[in-house]
Amino acid sequence: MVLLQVSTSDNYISTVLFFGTIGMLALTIGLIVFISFHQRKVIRYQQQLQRMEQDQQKTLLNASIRLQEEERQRIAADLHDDAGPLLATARLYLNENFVNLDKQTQLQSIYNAKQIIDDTIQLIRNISHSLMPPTLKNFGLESAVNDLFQKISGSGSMNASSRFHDYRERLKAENELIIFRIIQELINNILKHSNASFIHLTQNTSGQRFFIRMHHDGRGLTQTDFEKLGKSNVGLGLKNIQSWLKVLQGKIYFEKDMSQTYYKVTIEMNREDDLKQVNESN
Amino acid sequence: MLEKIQLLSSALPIVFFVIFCKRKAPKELWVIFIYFITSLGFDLFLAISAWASDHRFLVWNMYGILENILLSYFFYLIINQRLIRALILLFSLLYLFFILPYLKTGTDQFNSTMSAVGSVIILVLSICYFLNYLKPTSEAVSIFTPQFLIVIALLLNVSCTLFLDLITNRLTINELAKYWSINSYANILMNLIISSAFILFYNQHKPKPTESNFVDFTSPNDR
Repeated sequence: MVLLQVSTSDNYISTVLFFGTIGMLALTIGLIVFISFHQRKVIRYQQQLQRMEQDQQKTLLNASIRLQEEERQRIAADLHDDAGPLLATARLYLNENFVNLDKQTQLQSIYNAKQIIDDTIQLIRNISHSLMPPTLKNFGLESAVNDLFQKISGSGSMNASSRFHDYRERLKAENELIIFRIIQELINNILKHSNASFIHLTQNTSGQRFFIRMHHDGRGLTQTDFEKLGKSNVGLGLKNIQSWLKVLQGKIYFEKDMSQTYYKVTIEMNREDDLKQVNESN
Repeated sequence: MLEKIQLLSSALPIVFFVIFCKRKAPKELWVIFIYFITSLGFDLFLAISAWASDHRFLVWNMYGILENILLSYFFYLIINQRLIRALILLFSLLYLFFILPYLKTGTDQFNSTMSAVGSVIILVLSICYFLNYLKPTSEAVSIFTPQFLIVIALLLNVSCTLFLDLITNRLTINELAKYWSINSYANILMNLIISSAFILFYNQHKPKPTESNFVDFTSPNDR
């Protein structure tokens, strides 16, 4: 108002025009600078996230390669340490002098060699079964898991039981194998580290979602522990679980139950994709 | 002199569009191209036609309508949000509804209010477009797109000329001649930025040299 009273009309217009235009320009430039900086910040943050994701994938890939190597070494050791000596012994029974031996000794040697070859066949069958359980292939996840739990229970080290509530339609064979491997890995961890006296597995579905839940009364993991171990260099088995779940596009939750007595592990996957793939293959 | 530079600078985006963007330009760049053709057409019309120079303000008002409709359409094309698109349509219709009766009277007087309203609409749409960039997205998108540069150019132009538009009605012919240089500078700045946006478009869509996948398996001795 003071400005209006003291200035002439021309000055007034000049002042309004000058300050108005400068003010608008300053606001506009400020806005553009702010958006540019903000966007740059967002891009930097997203790049950092991408880097972290790549690192995580690298860790998972390394874990999976290490697992494969360990598996190969185990098979190599089984073949070399067990099957190799057995076959070598069988060969000793059937050596060059075999034809020079008397009939009685020959029969004894053949019998011994046959025994050893039978043992070797059994050994190779065991190795093959550990790679792909025949029950899983022929009768599905439910039978394979029940079989596994019966074996654990039969060993007397732990009370193990399993119950499948809704498994009328089998999952795709590859997915069944992955879930079975995850269950095996989890049970392996429970047996090794938890000191549990019982373990119980239940299967359920809710809509298109498929759930496997395991309870045990030993020392267990929480989700934070699982995530921490997944990022660290230790915990190869857990990293494998993570990479298997990635293939399944599933999730896993580690938690303590309401009573704080038992630990729960829940595996969740969407059946929709699985059924779609099964239908397509049919 | 300044008028001539402005006229030349308004031809610059047209030339750059024809050279760099004509083949692959998306719709929104074509709209800007048409906007510049219209702008240059009106400038030439004012320079050549005696009737136009006699009815300068009427021609400006007509140009103002076309300018706002084209720029609103440009924003309609670059903003993806449905609500804002619907609002653009609504405000454009309202703008036409209020300004067309005024044009029918044939009054040869600059309509400051409607021009300022048009500028405010462009200002608001530019801000809406920028707000889109502030939204958290899953992808890291580069901000320096031709569309972004065009919006900056329009925003700077509108900021420079908003107050001039508001007071043009109150100015005498002498005062108008004195202050009109602001408009010319703003236009030159806008033309230069939009020309560089067209160059940016060309650079971003330049065909990249394809890597040769050919592997020569023959022995070096046989080559």
